[in-house]
Amino acid sequence: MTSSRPLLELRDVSRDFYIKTGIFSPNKILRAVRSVSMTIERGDVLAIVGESGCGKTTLARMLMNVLEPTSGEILYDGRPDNERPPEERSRKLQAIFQDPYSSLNPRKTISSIISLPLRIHGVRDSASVRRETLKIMDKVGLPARLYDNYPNQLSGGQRQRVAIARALILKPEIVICDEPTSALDVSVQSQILNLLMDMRQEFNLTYVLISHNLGVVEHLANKVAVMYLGRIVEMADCETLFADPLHPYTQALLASIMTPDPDLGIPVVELGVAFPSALNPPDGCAFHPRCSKRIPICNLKQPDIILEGERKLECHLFGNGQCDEGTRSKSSSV
Amino acid sequence: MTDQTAGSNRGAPRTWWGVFSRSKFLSHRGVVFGGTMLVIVLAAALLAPVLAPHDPYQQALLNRLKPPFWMEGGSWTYPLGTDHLGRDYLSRLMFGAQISILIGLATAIISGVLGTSMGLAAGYFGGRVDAVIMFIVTVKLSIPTILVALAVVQLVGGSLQIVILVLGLLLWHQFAVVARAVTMQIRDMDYITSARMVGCSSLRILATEVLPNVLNQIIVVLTLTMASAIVIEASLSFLGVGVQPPLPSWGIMIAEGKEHIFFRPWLVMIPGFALLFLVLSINLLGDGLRDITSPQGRG
Repeated sequence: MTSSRPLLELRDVSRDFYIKTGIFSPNKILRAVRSVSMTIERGDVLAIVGESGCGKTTLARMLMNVLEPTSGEILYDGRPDNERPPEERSRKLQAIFQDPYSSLNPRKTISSIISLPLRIHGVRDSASVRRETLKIMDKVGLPARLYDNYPNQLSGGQRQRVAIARALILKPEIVICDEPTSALDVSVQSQILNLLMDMRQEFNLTYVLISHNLGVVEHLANKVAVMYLGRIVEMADCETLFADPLHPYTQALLASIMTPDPDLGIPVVELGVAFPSALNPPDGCAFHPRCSKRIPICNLKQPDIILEGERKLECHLFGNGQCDEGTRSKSSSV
Repeated sequence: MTDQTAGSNRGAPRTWWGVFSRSKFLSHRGVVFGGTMLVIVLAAALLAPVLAPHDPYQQALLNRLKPPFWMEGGSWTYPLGTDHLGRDYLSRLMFGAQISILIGLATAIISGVLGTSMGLAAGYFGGRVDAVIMFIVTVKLSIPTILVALAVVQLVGGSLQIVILVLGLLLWHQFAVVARAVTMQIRDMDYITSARMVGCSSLRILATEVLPNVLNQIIVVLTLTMASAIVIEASLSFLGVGVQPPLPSWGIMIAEGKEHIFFRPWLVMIPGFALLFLVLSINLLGDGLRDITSPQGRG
């Protein structure tokens, strides 16, 4: 395995859903993800952020190989799916879900939940299954006495540890975390995040982290992709993005972070109240109806992708070298 | 339970008996009543060869139409009297229970396997599979069960096996509907997604992830189907196309007793009440199980 190839590469990946509106009216098309391209290198922690309904979870499910893209392709280790044995991706790519209550089958014991991937991938010998299961339980901080318990006897944090153990038992290369902490108590969130980071060290993992908690993202990620209505509108290194957000939507997102200082009050975000429907996305730049800095071209033309080193941006304000300094300095002061 | 820290299985259902005694089963009135009644009938049926005072097929024409012991002329030799051929009524009732329970169980199992697999497939795969299976269910629901059973049994000839087979093929729709509904709820759970990601086949997911979660609703349907199978068998036998004489089916006993309904009504009433008792017990048990297993159930 050469390390020069990106671990995961998305080429123009789109996913549509057909919404039935009635027997006689035609189906509507919901464009959940619209031609997303990106690469994920080994060792990256890529965070995908965006508000509810922007397509984060659809993207994650495509990465997980649970949903097929409508168009475009996802290359794992430089090769598309049909050129590889199907077991390979399911071995190397695992997921951790948002809700630890629905991700564990209530009828199975902790040990059988954790060891399922092992048994599927051909470890039949029950002694070694038991040994491996106990080993991984120990690593994620689950006491061995929970081996024969059922999920309903565990707390939310313990359940999420079980989900992590299940994801890691095959020693995957990449783990997709779909909002791994948003269903947990605040006190448990940091424990789980620290565990995820420890495991990254231990197993040399690459993470794709879906989140809307920007605090978590700033803490964990080294790359951030901001999604709006099915498109990646800005993607950059974590430090760059947080220090100098360019896209007005990114600026608004960062401005919406709550601070512990009560005197600052609730942040003011100039986004308006309406979230545009994905069934009927606005013309031109999808963000323009809510954008406080829109210019005439915004509702006419979809902005091109601007590449600036590692940075990727979709906004008319910065297209064709018209990157005007006023916007830029204003943005860094936000 | 003395060492909470080391054991720490707060009510861990380790054994079947542990589940049973700790749960709400024993405090639910319907389950206790129905269960006790059913155990009595089951014991009578299973122990019939030992407990029955006479051979159920032994005719004694000199002793025909004896009344039960509590009536004038009754005796303890024939506790429930004798029928028109002088066969001991209690013994026939006990052997008849065997047939009723055998038919009820076998039918429920056949239709359960059939209906549950159809429901699982419909709920899990959705789309076209679902449309086809639900169409079959709709067609099935519009078929009058008794009439079809009558016609088929008339055509192929009545026997225990035929009755079981026909009823098994006619009573699966409840299983299909219930299994489909529950499966559709479970299908979108993350643990199913997770199993798919790991590379489980659909069959394996259905068998090991979905089925265990559907099973407690299926058990409830199983009891209800068993009850209706028993009633339908009795009806068929009463009409003469079910189990054939001299087998002591309760339906046959009622049919033979109806000749004497004005002067010896117990000949009809005793097997009638037995049928009521058995079906009531199964229904009580089934309703109780439904109450206990449904999340918002009482008790």
